[in-house]
Amino acid sequence: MLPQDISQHGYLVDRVIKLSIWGIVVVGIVSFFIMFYILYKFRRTKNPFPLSDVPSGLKKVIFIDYVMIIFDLILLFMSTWAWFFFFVRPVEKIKKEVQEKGEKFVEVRVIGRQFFWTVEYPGRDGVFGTQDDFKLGNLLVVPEGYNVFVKLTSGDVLHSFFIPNARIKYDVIPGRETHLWFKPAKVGKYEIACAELCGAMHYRMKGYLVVLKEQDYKMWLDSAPFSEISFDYLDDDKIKFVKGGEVR
Amino acid sequence: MSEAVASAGVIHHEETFLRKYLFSTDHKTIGKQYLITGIAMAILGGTLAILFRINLAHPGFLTNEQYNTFVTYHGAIMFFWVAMPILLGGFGNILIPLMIGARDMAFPTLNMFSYWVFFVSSVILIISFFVPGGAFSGGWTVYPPLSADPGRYLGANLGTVLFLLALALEFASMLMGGVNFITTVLTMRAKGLTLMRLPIFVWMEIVASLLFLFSVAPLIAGAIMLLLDIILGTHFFRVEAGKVGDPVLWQHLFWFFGHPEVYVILFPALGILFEVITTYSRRPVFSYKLVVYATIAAGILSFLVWAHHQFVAGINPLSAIAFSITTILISIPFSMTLVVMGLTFAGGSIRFTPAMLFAIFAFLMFIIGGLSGLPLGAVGSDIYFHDTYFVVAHFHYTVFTIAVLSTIAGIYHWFPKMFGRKINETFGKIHAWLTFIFYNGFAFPGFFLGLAGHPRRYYSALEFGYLQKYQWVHELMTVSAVLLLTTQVVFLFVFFYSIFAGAEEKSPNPWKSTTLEWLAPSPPPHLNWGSFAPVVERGPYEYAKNGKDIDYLPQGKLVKLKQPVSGHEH
Repeated sequence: MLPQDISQHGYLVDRVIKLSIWGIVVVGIVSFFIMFYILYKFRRTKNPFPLSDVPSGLKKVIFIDYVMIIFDLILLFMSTWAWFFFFVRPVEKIKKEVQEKGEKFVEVRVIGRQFFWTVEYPGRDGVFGTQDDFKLGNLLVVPEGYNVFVKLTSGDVLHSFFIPNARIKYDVIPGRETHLWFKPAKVGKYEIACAELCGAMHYRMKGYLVVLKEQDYKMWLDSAPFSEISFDYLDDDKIKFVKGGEVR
Repeated sequence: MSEAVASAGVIHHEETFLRKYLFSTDHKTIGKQYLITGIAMAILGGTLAILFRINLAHPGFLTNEQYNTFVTYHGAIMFFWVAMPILLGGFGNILIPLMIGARDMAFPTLNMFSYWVFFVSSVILIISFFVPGGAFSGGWTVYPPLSADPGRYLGANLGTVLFLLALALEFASMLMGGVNFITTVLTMRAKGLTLMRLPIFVWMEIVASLLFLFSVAPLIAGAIMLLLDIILGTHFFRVEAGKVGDPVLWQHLFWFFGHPEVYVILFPALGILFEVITTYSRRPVFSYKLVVYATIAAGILSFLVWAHHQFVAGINPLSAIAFSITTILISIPFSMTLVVMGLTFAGGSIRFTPAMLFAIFAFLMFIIGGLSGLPLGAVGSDIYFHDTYFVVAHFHYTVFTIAVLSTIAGIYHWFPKMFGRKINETFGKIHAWLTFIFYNGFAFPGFFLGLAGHPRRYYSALEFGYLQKYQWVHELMTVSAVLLLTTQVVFLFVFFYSIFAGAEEKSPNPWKSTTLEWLAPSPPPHLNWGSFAPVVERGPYEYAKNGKDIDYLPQGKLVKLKQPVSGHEH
């Protein structure tokens, strides 16, 4: 059911999802079986008079409470771990770590408006506020294996920047800057959704995340936003960068 | 005994039609008014749901503005104009005085007033649907700036103002009701009825009323600020260059109210289930004290969990961890309550009446609803599940169970008491099974859509490549939802038919239940007890205690009064 995970750290979220879903499925099925047993065993036709006490074997059902408490603790631990990794560390700190480790990164700014995403790129020099900055509508192009830092702002109402394939989501809030960080690990074209009701066309507020190989990314960047190139590994031939930088 | 009560020498006042049926101060009449109004609003809310569900199966059936409006009103109606009036106004009013042996509420006139304020709020809500500029369509959570600047972002200025006004009146009405419930229970209990002998339903109503009293003030403050933003152009939540409004503030105010609010309707529903389950399984509540304490604990904790609706909404990420911990903690009192509920069946002699079937289904669905809260409360998985259909499925497993399954269980259970007539039992059983099947058919697939990453409140899934393949799931959900509503409409026909023409129920206590309301005649007369007064002798659930011939002991008995009761003693 889960869409393909294309990020380096999406597994942290997936691990919590799988643990919680399997946990509740097991507890749910066990509870249902116990209940069916009780309802069947103590039905009136079989048991016309109530017992004066609950059979002591059944009282042990209380162990479900203890199971739940232990399960809750494990879930909390794993969940906080994932959350800590993605959101608790300030972006500056992650950036510093990344630089210290010698990892590569790119920065982009995303502005949410009714009903499209504007993505601002710093251009070849990687610095905002210079001549080679450029903007694209609904298209976030990033190189594979790089750390991607996304700064989110809103031009009007609340939105929520959601990349299902990368397991990240964060609200886009007017008057504030919010941040996302992820590391795409698989080339391809993926969808970006808006996950916070933003008006009538909320359901059409769609962007694309395009993950390119490093050298292709550089090639694209050299010619962006006026490039007309396509890459065979983008799953179908519909994806082409054309003049104006739109994706088709 | 019932004949004696009925013919007792109560001083009768001839009441006009208006006084008796419209502007009555009788708690039972007011309760029925709430119940019927709630049912009417439920038909409206359900119809809206069907319309936008059809649109989800066949996008284009509605316009996208209509879709957003219907989704908004469906949520608001089901919460504030169905669940609250039926569970608090309806069952609370009818049952609390009867269960505690009182003759009416502490403030009967305030009680009447609260209903009429509620009625006006319903009318305003419906009017807001048709005003120029259109109805409000910014989601039932009314998140600004979408809602704070409607002229700019939604084009529904008047609709938004009326929507908020209707909400404010509804809150005022429920506040009056809550004050009445608390005062009545604290001051007007029958002789011998200590707090720890109260039926669990009464406990639940009291805790729910307290939660509402404590939580609603911030929201009213927030609503006033929002109205000022809309009407006067202030900047509490609106953001413009150089202005310091903060939309996240609204989310705090809203959810500080919103989460306790969920328990405001959940607790009475659990109370109904305990009354129904004990009666038809012929067993006492497995641990009365544990339920009471767990309910109070959950009520207190419910004030400390609100930000779990905002994990990815710009709050401090460290506080998100704290709220995640409290949210997971709150599952513990609820898992205890549900285990106690499950063990209340154990050792019983279970009768599968319609009320019991609905209670069993509600209990099973609460297990799913409660468990599915864990992936959302755990902050790590909520990154993905936040605002997806997983949330939708989760709260339909809780709120639908509260507002429909538990409510209908209560209706079947207390119908003979309320109206002195019966609902056909075979019909009731078919009704229960069909409801159970269609309900799961429409609610359960939501979990899969959530896992697939389908965001909520999408007019159509067809715009996104990764969602297109799940269109058939929407179709399945729509078919189930249509059948579900059809089943309930048939039930309502039978319900109203039975009120007027059902078989008469002669016995005041057809289910052999223990609590005080079953001592009163069916339906109880004005002032309930005639020239008798109930005296309580024992706890509320004395089943399976008295050998095999009589398996239950009523909680109390009726004692003849020395002086007849005047009709207007309050």
